[in-house]
Amino acid sequence: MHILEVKNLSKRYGKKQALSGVNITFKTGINALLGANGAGKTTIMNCISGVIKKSGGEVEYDGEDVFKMGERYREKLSFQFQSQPFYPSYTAYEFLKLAAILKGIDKQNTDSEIRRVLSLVNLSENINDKIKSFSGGMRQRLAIAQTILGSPEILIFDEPSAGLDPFEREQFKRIMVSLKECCIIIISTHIVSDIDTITDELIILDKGSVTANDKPENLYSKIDGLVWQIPSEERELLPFEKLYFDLRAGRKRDSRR
Amino acid sequence: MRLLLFMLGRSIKPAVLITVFVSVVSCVMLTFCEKGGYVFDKEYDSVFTSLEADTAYDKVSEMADNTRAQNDDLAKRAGDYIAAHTKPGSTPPVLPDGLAGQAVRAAQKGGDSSSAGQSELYEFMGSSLKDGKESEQLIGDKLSGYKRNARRGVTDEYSLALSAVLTRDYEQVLDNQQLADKLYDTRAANTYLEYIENDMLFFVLIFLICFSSFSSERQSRRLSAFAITKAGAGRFIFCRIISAGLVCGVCAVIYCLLQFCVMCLSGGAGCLDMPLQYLKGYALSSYAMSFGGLCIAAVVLRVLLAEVLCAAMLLLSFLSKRNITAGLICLAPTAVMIGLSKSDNSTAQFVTCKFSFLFGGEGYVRVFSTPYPVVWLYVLICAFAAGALFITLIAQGQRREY
Repeated sequence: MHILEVKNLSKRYGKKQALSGVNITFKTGINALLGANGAGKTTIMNCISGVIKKSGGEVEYDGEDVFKMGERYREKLSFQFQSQPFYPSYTAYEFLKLAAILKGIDKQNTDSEIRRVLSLVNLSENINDKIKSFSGGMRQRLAIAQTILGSPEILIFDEPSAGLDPFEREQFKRIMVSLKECCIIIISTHIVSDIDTITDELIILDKGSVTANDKPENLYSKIDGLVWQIPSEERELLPFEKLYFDLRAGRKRDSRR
Repeated sequence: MRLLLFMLGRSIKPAVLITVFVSVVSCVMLTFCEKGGYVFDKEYDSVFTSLEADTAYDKVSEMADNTRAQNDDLAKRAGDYIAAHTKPGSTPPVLPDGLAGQAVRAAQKGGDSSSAGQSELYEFMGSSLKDGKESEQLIGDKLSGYKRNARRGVTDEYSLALSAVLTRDYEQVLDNQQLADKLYDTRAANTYLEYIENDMLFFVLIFLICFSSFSSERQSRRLSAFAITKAGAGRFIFCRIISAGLVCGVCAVIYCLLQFCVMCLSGGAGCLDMPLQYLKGYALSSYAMSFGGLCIAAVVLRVLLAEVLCAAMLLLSFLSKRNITAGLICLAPTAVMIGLSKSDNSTAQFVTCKFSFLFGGEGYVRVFSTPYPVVWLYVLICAFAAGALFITLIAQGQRREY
């Protein structure tokens, strides 16, 4: 089992503190980061992967500082960005070939590996299509294919299910489950249904800090039996809203007669 | 190596397409310029084939003098007639039929007995042959000057060293000229050299190929995505630089070769073995090379210049996060080069690789009291500038590694 440990991680953008003293231990399996927009999910993943420089703290992989590991760490890592950058003029095959070369995958295995990941995301038929002809969902699947290409040990997904149809979401879940025995998978999302049945660890973030970090069943047991009350603010209705409600009320009165 | 080959394979196609498009425009313009030099094509050929190498210039000068004398005579006869027949208070006299007809025919360019057209043709031909004719004499004068300096006891170290190298070079030039006893039609060659010296499209081509190299990677965040792969940002940028440099070099070669082909097809092919000194403005060149050699040197120097501009634009492109910014910033070196290429200043001529400046004169500059070949100095400066810019860019790429 591999461990990716984030210790006292902090990140500051100018005056804004995006992360403050975050401590998380990611183990082999699926680790889900949940939180509202601006909670710090993407910042944590960017800091872990080295896309942005952290302001403080440490990130260790199996006890070794990842930023000292350099190339050895990067070859174990794969990151799917929220909006994955592509070369629109490339075909799916060419793009994955470039990714394979950058990831250091052997020349002999490149072709079979590309075909394998494309079949996993149901893009085998589009292997020679240009990316500029792809729909948003197809691009997202290609991004997933690029991330799992070469079977890296650490997989980071930032909002992976955005743009996927229900069938593809299930397919994505199946891929994650098949990989979770051998990889540290970190998925960031704010759609609970994407990860609730597959995740091993659930990390909930709020305003740059970890508010909960446990197995989902433990977290669910804590809230079991509680009732959510969502207060609605009373405000003055806008003229057209007033008209709408008046009309509805009138129609209801008419139907009762 | 795989990454480099992949990048080369991907980037060469659009760059070559741009190059072919710009080259076609440039070649069409060159063809028009070449056509301008062939304005007396048939008459020129008929006169030119009747000439002999040794006496060509003298004969053309004689013919030019004759036609000029004929014109003067005709003008004098007309003037005399008018003076003799003009009475005070009356209208000017009308020339008699014979004299009027001669005057009209002489003034018509291209007519069978048009002495004005013939005079222009001989003058044009004379200007093409003048350098070849005068070169030997000018070089001879220079050599005797250097020998006189030595006899007069000049002790300045640089002057003596310059005299020694130039004496050696000019003796080689004279040997070369003796071997070339053919008469060369230099029209296409002269037009070609003049055109490529002032060719602005070359700078535009480099701009079009290079300006978005890195800005597009940064704008789309591909650089960030590739930075966290095994290859990392450093290797990605290094391969990108090498591939961009190679592609730029290939495109510059294609561009220059297409122009060279147009020159050859326009009649310059016959001049390839001609001594350089027969070209207009090259009479005093100390380079014992042929026009063909100059063409090769021109391609090499232009490719070098392209590499320097490419390196500068890649760096500027890397420092710009957006394509539009990179486009605007990279226009600066392009505009500077175009501006400098119009200047007569010697530094500007050196920077913009004017062949008449680099090859046309004595060809040496003073570097610490030693005469150094100006062409080699140009090569060294270009190589240093390109290397320094590329290294700065690689260092910038390494900063994005962890």
